[in-house]
Amino acid sequence: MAKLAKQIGLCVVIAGLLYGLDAFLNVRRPDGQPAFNPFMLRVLLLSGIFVTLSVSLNIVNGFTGQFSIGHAGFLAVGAYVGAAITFKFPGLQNGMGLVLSCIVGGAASALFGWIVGVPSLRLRGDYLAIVTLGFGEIIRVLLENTSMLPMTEFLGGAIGFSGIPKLTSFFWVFGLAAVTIGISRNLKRSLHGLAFLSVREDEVAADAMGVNTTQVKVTAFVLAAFLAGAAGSLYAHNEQFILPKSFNFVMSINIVVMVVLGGLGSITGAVLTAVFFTALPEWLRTANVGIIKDFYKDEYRLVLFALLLTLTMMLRPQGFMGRAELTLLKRKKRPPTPAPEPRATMHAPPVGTHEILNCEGVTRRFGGLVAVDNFNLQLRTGELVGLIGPNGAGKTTVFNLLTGVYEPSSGAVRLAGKQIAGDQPYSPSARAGLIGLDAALCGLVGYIGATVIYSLPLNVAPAAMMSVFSMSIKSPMVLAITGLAAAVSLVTSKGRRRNRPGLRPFQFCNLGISRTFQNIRLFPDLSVIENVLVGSYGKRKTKLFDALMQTVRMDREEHEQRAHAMKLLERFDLGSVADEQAGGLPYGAQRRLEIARALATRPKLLLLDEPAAGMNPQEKSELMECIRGIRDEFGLTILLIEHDMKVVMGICERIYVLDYGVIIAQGSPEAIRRDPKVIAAYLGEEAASG
Amino acid sequence: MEDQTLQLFVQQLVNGIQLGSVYALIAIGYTMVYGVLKFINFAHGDVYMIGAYMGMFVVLGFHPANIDQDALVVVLAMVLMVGLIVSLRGNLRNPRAVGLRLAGFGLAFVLLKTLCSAFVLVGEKLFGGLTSVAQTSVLVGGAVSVMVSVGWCAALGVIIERTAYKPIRGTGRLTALITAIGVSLLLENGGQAVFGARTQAYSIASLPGGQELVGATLNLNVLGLAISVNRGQVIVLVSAIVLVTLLMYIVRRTRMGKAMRAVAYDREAAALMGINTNTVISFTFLIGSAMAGAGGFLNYGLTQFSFDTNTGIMFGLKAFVAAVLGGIGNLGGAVLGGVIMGVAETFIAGSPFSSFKDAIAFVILIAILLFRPAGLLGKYTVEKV
Amino acid sequence: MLTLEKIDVYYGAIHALEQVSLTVNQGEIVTMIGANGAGKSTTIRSVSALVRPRSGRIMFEGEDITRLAPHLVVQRGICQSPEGRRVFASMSVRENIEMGAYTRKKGSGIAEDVDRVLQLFPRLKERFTQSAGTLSGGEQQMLAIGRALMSRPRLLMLDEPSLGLAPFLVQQIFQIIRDINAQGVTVLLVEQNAFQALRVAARGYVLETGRVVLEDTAQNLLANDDVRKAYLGE
Repeated sequence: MAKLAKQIGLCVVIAGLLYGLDAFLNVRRPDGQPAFNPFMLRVLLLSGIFVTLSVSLNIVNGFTGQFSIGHAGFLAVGAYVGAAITFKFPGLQNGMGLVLSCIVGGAASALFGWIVGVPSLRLRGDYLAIVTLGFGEIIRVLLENTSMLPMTEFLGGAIGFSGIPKLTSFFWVFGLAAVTIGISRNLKRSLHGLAFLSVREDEVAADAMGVNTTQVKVTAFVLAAFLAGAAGSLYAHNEQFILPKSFNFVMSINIVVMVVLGGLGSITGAVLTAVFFTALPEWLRTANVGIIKDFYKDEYRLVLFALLLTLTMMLRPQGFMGRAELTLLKRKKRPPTPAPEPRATMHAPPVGTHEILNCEGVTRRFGGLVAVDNFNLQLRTGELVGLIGPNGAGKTTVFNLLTGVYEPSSGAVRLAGKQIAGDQPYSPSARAGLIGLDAALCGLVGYIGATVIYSLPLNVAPAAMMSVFSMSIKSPMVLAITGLAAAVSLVTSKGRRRNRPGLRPFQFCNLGISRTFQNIRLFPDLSVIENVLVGSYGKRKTKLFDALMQTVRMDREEHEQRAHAMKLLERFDLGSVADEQAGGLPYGAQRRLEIARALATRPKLLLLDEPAAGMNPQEKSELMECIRGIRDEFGLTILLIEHDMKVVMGICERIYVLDYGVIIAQGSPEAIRRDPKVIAAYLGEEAASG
Repeated sequence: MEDQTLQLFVQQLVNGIQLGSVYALIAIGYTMVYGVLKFINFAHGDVYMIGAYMGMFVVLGFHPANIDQDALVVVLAMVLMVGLIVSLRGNLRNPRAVGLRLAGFGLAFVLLKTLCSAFVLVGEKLFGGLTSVAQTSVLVGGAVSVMVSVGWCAALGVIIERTAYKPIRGTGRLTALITAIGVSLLLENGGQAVFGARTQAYSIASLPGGQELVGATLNLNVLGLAISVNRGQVIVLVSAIVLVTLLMYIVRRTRMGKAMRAVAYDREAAALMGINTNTVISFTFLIGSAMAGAGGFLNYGLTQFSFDTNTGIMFGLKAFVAAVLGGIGNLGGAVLGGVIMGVAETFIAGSPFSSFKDAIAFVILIAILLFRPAGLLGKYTVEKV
Repeated sequence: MLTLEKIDVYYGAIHALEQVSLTVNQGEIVTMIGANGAGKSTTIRSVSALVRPRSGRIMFEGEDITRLAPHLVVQRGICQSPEGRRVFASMSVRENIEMGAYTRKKGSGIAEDVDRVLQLFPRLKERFTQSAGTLSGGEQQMLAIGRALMSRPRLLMLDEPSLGLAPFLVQQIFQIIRDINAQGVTVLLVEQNAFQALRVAARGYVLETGRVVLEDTAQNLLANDDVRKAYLGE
């Protein structure tokens, strides 16, 4: 409770501060003139709005590592929706109305963010950038056409929306900015924020550690859109006149420039650059410095932006602040109080009782190449099994099949009796429904397209299109095109809709299968302990809300997870480097950290992909001890790929030998060592004789 | 009713294919650069815009009055500043290098104004000469314009690659994308400062004999339907086909083309074959930018469209969508995607929803990324883990 | 012929090669063996200038080639057949082979060399016009070696030529390496298959975590107990 009181206290103090500043800025001189230049005040408010925009975009571009360049679109949605509310309901033209319009504008914008995010966030990097830019443009085009419908005519279409009441003040603008900064700061420090950062660092590894990367990305997008929408409402009520054209690419780029130059991931950087780059052009425009005044053109500002962007990328790609933050109060190091015992250590069921993993006839083809062919494998709880074979035999492909990175072309994988990968056909009725839905959708698209062609010679107004649609259904051409589209869909959909989509890697992880990677895939810019904490994200009990508000529940959970992570680190001799950057660790330590991270997901089955690669003999023998130790301690079943015969023969109870994607032998290390097929394929023909 | 629909349909189809051929020319540049560097050259659309201006200078003449010399000085000064900072990087401990660079750039700053005047003067004389050559006949004029647009844009593409993209190669895709956005903004706004913000239009119809060549309307009879096509449109289409054929020849048959394909497939393996990958990358930019320059001239010099310095953004984006639609990295795909884009846009522009024509590109983009992310002719690859 | 003098290579913070020194004499087959991640590939990648050593020197026939661009290294007469074969899958076998002769002028006996390669690998002759992506692993490996030979290297570096190949193919590949060497090409061979590699090589280097830990004639290495245990699975 003390924590909550402290938080409320802080909010009150900040609100009071803002309120006082607001009053101070609106002081009038005795002659009734404002004491502060109204123009300067306007610039001040505008920079406050841009602080919100750049800090919110930083959640997407900085924390999550996606690259959106269409932020102005969300600003526009918020601005139009927010302004429409106060415009239509004069009773709301007050402070409360402004708050309401910010929330509704934000929500509308968040909805758009969701619509944009769900399809496009599957894409990476530059594709995503183009799609966000495209959506920004679509929003602009839609707003320009609002005058087409009588219902939305008051929004003014391309001519602009005027007559919006002036409701903003320093208090509201900077209040929202403070809220945005607070939320963003809480997020960055929390367990949930770490999931965001892990997506930025390495999406594949994040997925494998149980982070639903799509959900995280969409969340980031929606959150940023909400805040941008709220800022949009403030923008509209500050400018009083908005034009679809002004929310264009250039404005989006302005915000991107702020985030990039401030430092992707740094809230402080985003704030500083937002203020600087909003105030700078206004100053340049009005400055009385002779040479600037005579020559100044607005294009120069953009030329300067362009050059600054390029220069930053060449000299300091991480931006002005990098990922660092400036904080007024030094964060107290958490006292090393012994945390409540997180949970009882698992009791390993006796070896060999239950079957935990069963692969039956698993085959994976890549084009014409069969990487894994009719692969069968059974693991019982508590076993330590090796998977060996020459390079290129398909071992890592097996791991990828067991963790959902690839889907089997045929066959089935069962975890504790439950099928988790492989053919999972739809029930006939569900399949028929989906195929029907596909056909109906394609038919509809075909019908709309055909009607547009049909309407070409009619020159109808958009409003009359409805009647054309009802007319065109009688045309044989339209019917033929519609039918054709539906028929094509029917034919192609049959194959596509055979199986239910497979589980994603994060779902495999949450079911209890965790892994390490052949080429270490840590989150290099996160600290060692943060790497492990990402592993425990899948087992969280708190909601995103807890993280944003930094609730007591969140605190408690983080405390527990940290304690657990610390214990794991100490188990792997990494306790002393817990706060160092993972990317800077020596090779052997990185390998150990990867195992610790995998264990943080609380797996039942652990897959180790060449854990000894790149280690010296001393490290290798330590590793062998360690693997055996964790198996007993955590009650694990372990499957490992390894090249080093000493390691494999030394610790594995059973060994499978894979060659050409086919299991050629299995058995105890002794049997494998003597198996002539293995010697021929793996150790070299003559090793047997020589 | 049905007959009229069909006739309009075919008419729009022809118009669409013509527009699509220009998209295809630009899309080729995106797709080639993406193939080799896995990077979206955001500034490619702006190279196309420069191509349009270069054609205009040949046809209408280059008047110093149309160039803001002060702006040129300011923009170049800023670029020089950045150049100085970048060139000093890594040499700060070496006083000799610092001194030399400071002296060099200092000299450039001092002489900047004079250099700009001289530059404009030379430009005036040079383009004056070209214009008078172009004035002899429309065929000569057209040829000269194409050569100037193509040559200048090719050079510009290589300059951009060498100065902006090469230094940051290998530092991550985001860095490359942001740099490209920077270059794009520089060309747009630098261009706007120097050339002015007004909309421009020109046509080689104004050259002697031009009216007959491009102005005339051809009335064709396609399967009993009366279709009227502007001669200019036909020339654009034919030129585009010739250029694309030429490009296909270069890529498939020449030594450089083979090297390009090798670099696109596996840059390291190509280097191990003794291929100078830097040269190949520059050559890719050269060819792609040349195509964009040709597109810039064709689409404005032979039609009635108008343009300004921001034209390249939207046109470039649509061409990029065309490249993605066809399957990025695939030349044939770029052509196919370009044509589909052109046709789709023309149909929307002719329908009651004409004001939505700028949105259709992005609707197509989103649809293709949802249903077939590798594009129509592309192959989908899974990331290796 | 080739000398590496104490080269250090870093990947980010990871010290991949530590003071690696190595010599290859004219006409020899020299092999580097070691576990995955020991730095074998990194060593020959730094010779090919695909990675830059932070310190140390690489000399080839008396010339310092440490700072040369990759294509210039090839022009000096060093060619590498990279790990994982990396043939140009979308091109035909013929185009792949011709690509190997990229540095050479037209007509300087390229056609004869193509014949020579096809003689060495009759399998490729059968698949001459097929696209390289449709070849089997062994055929691709032959193509990669044949392609590397087309630049007429004086030093041929082979990175894991037996990777992912069936035993009888491995035999064949090693026989071909002997043949190539007999034609006067010096060979630097990186192998997992230590036994086979030591059988064809004159001398060998054993790498472990980025360091050369052992250097001897192949005969002695084959007899060495540590080597037998660690790499021959005994």
